[in-house]
Amino acid sequence: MHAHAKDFRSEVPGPEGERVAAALVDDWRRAPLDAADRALCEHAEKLTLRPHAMREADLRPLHEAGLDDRAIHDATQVIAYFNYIIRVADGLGVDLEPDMPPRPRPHAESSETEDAVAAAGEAMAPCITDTGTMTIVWKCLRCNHHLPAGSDPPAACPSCGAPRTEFALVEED
Amino acid sequence: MAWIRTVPEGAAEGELRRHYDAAVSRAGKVFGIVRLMSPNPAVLEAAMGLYRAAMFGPSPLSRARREMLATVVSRVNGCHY
Repeated sequence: MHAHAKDFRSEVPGPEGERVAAALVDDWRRAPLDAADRALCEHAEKLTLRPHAMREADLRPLHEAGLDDRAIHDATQVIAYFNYIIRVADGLGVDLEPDMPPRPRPHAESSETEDAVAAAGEAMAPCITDTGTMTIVWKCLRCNHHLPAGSDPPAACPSCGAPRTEFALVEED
Repeated sequence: MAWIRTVPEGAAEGELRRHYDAAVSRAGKVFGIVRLMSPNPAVLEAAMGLYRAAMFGPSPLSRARREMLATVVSRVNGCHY
């Protein structure tokens, strides 16, 4: 999502692009969009969440907003492509780019969760797989600094100073 | 660190080497999503081809509109990347 909000900003530079990009990341319904954009976002949302519920009538708002069959086709290909590539990224644990904010960690403030995560790390490190020995390490999501797992992550990253909540357990081979 | 073994930039050869070099000349680096597909360079090539055609090829949809759709799909999927 952050990759595309960034690309959107580069296509629509200035405060207007910034405002729309921020609103899109937050909630497209509150973004200042024209009728065609609104219909496209509606199409993207339904096709993504409820593909089995799509009906021919779902294309009507797109036609009414002035989009022709080629535009509707192209939009649907874009929507489908991103649903595909997101599943590749999320299904295989894509590495975030250094300039992206770290993944949100639900309940990261809970020491119970952190203990459970640390215990899982101890149980798994190192684990033998058919590709060789893999070791679990703590990784700073801000600067990629690695530390041995098996204990709690440090209060702050020794490399960049990020707080403990920025550490995640990852596999390192 | 992705959850599968991917090919590091220094170890890429052949078709994959060309993809990585093209990524560096295009974007200044190899994005995580490109490296993630390194185990199968033919699929990487096809996926990048669809991406280029759908997002940058001729279309009645402006570039901004296409990036808007990408952002909305990512948001609705809860995709952080």
